Amino acid sequence: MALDPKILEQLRQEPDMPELDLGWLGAQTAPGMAAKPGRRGLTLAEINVGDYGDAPERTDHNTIRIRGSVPSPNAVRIGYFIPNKGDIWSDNSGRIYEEAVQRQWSSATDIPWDTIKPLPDVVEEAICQICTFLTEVEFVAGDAPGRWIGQISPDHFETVLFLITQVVDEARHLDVFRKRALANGCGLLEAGGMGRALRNIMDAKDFSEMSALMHLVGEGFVQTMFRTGEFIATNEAEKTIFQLCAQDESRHVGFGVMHLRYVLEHQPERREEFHSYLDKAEELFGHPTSMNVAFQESLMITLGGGDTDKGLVMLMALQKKQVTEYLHRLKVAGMPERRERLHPGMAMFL
Amino acid sequence: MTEEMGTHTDKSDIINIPPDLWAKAEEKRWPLILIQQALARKVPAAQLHQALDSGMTGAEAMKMMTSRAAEQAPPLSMAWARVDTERGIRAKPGKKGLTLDAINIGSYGDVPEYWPGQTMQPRGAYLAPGAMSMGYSISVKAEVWADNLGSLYEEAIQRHWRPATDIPWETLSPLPEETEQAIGQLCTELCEYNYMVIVALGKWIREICYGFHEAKLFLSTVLFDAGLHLEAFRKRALANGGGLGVQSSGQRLVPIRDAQNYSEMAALVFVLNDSFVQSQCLLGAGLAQNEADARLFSLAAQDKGRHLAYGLAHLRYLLEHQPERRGEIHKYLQKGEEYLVKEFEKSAPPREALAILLGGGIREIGEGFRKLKEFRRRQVSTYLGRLESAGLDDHRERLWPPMAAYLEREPVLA
Repeated sequence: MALDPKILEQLRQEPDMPELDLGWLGAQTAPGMAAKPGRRGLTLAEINVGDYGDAPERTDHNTIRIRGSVPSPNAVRIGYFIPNKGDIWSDNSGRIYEEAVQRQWSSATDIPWDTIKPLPDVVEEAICQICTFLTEVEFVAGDAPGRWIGQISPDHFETVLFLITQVVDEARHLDVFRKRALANGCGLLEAGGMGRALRNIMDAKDFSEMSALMHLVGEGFVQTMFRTGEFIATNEAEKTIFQLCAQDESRHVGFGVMHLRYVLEHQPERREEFHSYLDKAEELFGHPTSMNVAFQESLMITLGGGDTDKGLVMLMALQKKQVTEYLHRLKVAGMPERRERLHPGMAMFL
Repeated sequence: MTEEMGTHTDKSDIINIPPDLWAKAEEKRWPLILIQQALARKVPAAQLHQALDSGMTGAEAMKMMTSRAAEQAPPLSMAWARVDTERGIRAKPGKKGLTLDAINIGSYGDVPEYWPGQTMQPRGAYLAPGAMSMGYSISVKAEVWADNLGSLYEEAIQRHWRPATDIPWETLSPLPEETEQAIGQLCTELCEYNYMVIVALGKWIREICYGFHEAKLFLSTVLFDAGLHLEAFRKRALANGGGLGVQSSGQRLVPIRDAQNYSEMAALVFVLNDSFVQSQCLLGAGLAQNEADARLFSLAAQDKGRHLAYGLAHLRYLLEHQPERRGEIHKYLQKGEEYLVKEFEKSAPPREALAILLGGGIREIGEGFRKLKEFRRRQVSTYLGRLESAGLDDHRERLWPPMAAYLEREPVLA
């Protein structure tokens, strides 16, 4: 409600009173809200009510106006924000953001580091090679969203909030795998084996392309591997690391699946475009020139518990599982036909 | 764009698959790793062609291959295990767990002044030739470094809070309408500022080289904090019958938007603006009329304290290692001060909202303005004190004159 003009006049009469405006009192265009906490506290779902909850399909103001606040005609432009909601949206952003905030963990204190015991040299080296690889590649999923965060409008802030949790998750993954590599007598080993796939993520020209390459392919495959971490782990510390990282990756993959579904529902003409992104990513999977020998060999050693024949069988089972789950996610997102278009280099794992 | 094209280090480690065999394997849907392993075990290519032509599936071939010659040594190159990196590292958890500082041992803890690579090579790892550049551009340590990065990162992780459940929202109770709207206005401004921090950091984190991973990690937590604050202040504005207020002019955000290098952005965000925002959060906690507001503003101030600690330590490091940049830093701060004062003086909603809260209600807004003068004086004084602690003790004389004017005003007892 606007201020009573009589009160305003009285205030203006007071000695030494600076010039008063007070027009902002009662200027709200949206009605006042008294959101109440629910079973999970005061979540974004509780405050996304009425005008405050409506993320517009298109936004053009390019200022930093917070959704639901009263526009100011003289506000400075901050940059060019992606105008279309469909280009960056996912209906589960708010929920997985809240989940991410609740499920943050500490690599310093939530991992039972004392359970790490000396291992045979070859196994310790294999674990450290896996950790080197993951320390190297995990933060691409922190660097890549950073580029896009600044291009998303405050009207679509839920996506930004989710992407921020992804950045901090990946920071923790970089950190925890580095810690493991330096905790049991070996150290970091060989890096540099996954450049092209990672560079493709960084080079993506469109948010949806980045999401397809990173969330659906890259993180999807990593998540499947983390979920089989109990076969790689040699102690409780490593099991805990893989479990916690898998939990984080599930959220990232979940965003990608729901973003793809949203795009296909709202911009069905982009279906072929997504196929082309996936063609590009799949081509690298299983291609001999992109085989990371160090990573594959170290997985064979750890998966087989030192028996590399057994490890090879398990590695191939893992790769089959990765491809199977990847196709399942695409089906859930609304691309069941991808199975027939799967790149031969990837299809052979089935 | 690329440091070296290619995908693996030591080509001799890769078992080359002849193109015709490769094509046939793809056609018959045999995993290439199987072909690779078979060749490593000295299975002749002709025999593999024969197996592929026979209709044998990849699974059958794998079973056959892995069931025979159990006595064979594992056909692994293991070249990656022979690389020249420091070994024997056994970092042990300390009182605060296994922290970043605890693993900074030996060569792994040596942070070079210049990191030449643009790849994702972790510090201390061996980089296989052919690794691709990822385009990182900040490769001089002084541009991002602060000696407290590791400890601040761990502190941020430990002190993480959850707006949905760590704020006692149920303690909110109806406030006078103008007071509630003033809080909504304050929250709106804080949401905007945090969104700007998000935009700025998103741009810069990805520019930092992997050799300075502590900076990447800590700044990720700052990004996360900014997201939490955006969320928390939005929730506060919508939780007690008020709502968000009027968009600010955004003047204070202009220099941050326009920052041309990382240290410029860092000086503007982590030194100038965070100093003023933290004192505003502390004020919010002090004026709170319920536990929810007190806790919300206190937690936000605590986070800002960390960001400031980084900003000041970074500034100190920068001035020690690149003293020739002192004048440049003065300029950045002056520009930030100019726009901040513009925002203070020309944007009525935030100024009047603060006066209502300081005065204790709309009818006491006159008293609130008098207290606001004192508050501004303290903000500027605290800011200058911080700059002095970081080694920029000559900034007092270079303070943007309209900001310096805040210092000259008569203090009013709060």
